[in-house]
Amino acid sequence: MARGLVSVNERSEDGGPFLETVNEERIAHVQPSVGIVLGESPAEQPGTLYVTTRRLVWLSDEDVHKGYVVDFLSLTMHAISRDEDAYPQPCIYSQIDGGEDEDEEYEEDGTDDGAEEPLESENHGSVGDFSHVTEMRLVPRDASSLDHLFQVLCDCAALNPDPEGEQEGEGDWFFNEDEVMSNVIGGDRANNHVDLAELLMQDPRFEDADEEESGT
Amino acid sequence: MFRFRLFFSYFKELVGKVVTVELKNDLAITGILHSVDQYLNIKLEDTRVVDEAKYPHMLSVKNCFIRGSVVRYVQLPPDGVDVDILHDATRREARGA
Repeated sequence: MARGLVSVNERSEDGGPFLETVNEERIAHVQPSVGIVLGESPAEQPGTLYVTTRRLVWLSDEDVHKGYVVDFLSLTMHAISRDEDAYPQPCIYSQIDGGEDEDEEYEEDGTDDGAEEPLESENHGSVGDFSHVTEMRLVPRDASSLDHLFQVLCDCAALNPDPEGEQEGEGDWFFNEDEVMSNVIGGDRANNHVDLAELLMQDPRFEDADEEESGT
Repeated sequence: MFRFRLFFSYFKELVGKVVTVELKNDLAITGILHSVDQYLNIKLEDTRVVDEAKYPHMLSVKNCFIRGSVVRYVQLPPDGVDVDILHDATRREARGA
């Protein structure tokens, strides 16, 4: 379930994030000297980026109680941004889906940029809710690492498809424009019951996908 | 995942062509289709946002990965579609589902 961005204030003894062993989370990539930009806020740096098989974790190098986590289910897209008009430094630009719970209690305490009532996480202290953050940039000091970092994010995102049965929009198929325009859902398709044999076309383009395709 | 097979096969044929992907959050991105995977995650190259005024922070990004589950539509190039073949294969797939 997409949770959006949350803050974390604890880390393991080796300085990295606590991993969720219940789903066999592993660290795929560690990138030091990375700044993080949440929405319109100024960059927070320096920090270390941990890309795990489940989540993106950024931990501040200067404040051991400051960090942010977003799970790949919430990461709707990510891209390499080299457009200086968009942001002065080359970076990974990403968008985050905060999930559907947008009516949570929201208390402005005025001390930071919209952190919400701390929630109890599973094991590791309290977390803050940054589900209102929809844009995030990761700015590595070493810009040449962006291509590899982008690819790691692609690979780990592919490890996190939506769970079965939670997909919306699995509705009916529309066969022609008339159906679409008249918004016929589950209605009479008698005019489409033509001879099956006539319709079958052995077009090689529609063969089953090769199982080893990973799309990376 | 069976109904994805049709789209996956079809999108693989569109690699190298310009498509516009519309996300469920209304963001629309145009780019060259680089690749697609079995979950219909989409990678685009040389992307630009369709409505720059609405999403000024993105502007042009080079390589873009879009999570398949957030895609609402993929707008296909006019010369990339054989409508009759797609219709027939779709009917066949739906009946088999």
